[in-house]
Amino acid sequence: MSRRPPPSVRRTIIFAWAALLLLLALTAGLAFLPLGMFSLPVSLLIAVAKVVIVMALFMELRHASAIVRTAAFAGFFWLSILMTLVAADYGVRMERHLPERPASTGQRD
Amino acid sequence: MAETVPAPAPVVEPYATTAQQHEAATLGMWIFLATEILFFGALFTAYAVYRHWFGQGFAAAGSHTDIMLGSINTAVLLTSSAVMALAVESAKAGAWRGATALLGVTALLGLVFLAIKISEWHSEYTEHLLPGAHFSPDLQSIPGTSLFFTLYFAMTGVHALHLLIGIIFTTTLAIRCKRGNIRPALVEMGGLYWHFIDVVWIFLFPLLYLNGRAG
Repeated sequence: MSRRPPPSVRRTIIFAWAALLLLLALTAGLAFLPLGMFSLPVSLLIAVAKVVIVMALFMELRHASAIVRTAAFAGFFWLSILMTLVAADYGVRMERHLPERPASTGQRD
Repeated sequence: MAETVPAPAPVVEPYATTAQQHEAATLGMWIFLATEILFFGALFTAYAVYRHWFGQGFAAAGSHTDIMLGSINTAVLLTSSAVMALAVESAKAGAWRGATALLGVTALLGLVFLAIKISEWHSEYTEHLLPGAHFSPDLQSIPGTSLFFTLYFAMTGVHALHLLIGIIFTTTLAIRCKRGNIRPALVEMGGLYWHFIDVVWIFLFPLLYLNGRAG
């Protein structure tokens, strides 16, 4: 007697895994291209795509109830509040308040 | 050897049905994971602030991490998550032998990740990338480089600690699946924790390994 998960379920997991590895290869390859200021947003966008695959398919949020999805969303929502307020603080600070190393070359971008 | 079939999942107080009990466990796990998002989130926020200040230093320091080992480790962790997802589905289908084996493979892949991570830390230590008295003088002259490596060791360190807990938890689940005295829901909760560790790493990888590569 051998019980196994339904073939459709196994197929979804294998496809998700293949997509994750493809996205990994893509993001590692793109890191070597001179994308300038787009380098970070592109790599973060690919990371978000991977996380959506993991959370929707592996963590089964796709089939989760509204209250479970809300709990999952809440963590990221609270984090976005933290990041927004921190960005608002540092965004309006004066340059002279930044910590400097004594040996600083004074360069930053 | 015949598969051990566990007794049907007992519904314990205060739940009326197994579905309700399962829903409560899932919700509780996600609330715990939300606190974990904020735990790691504080470190990600610190990273964002300092990267914004010391863009040049972060790019210079970032190019010193091992992108090859980092990519291999990402592939190992993504694969472990896929295996864990199969383990959860096997447990749900009542295929306990399959679940036991798949949970074992998941834990083993976690150990492979840790072994690679430790070898990386070791070579970074010998290359004077650990901030402190012996930090590389070349990097020291660029502002922000030691901050990058402080965050690198802190973030990969707490991630590895979570993974270690996950490996112990997953191994315990494998043993219980083998004995057959487990509800599928517990394997599911172990899966959620494991996938969360994967999610954290998916964000760490571009921030710690892919920065400063294009020159």
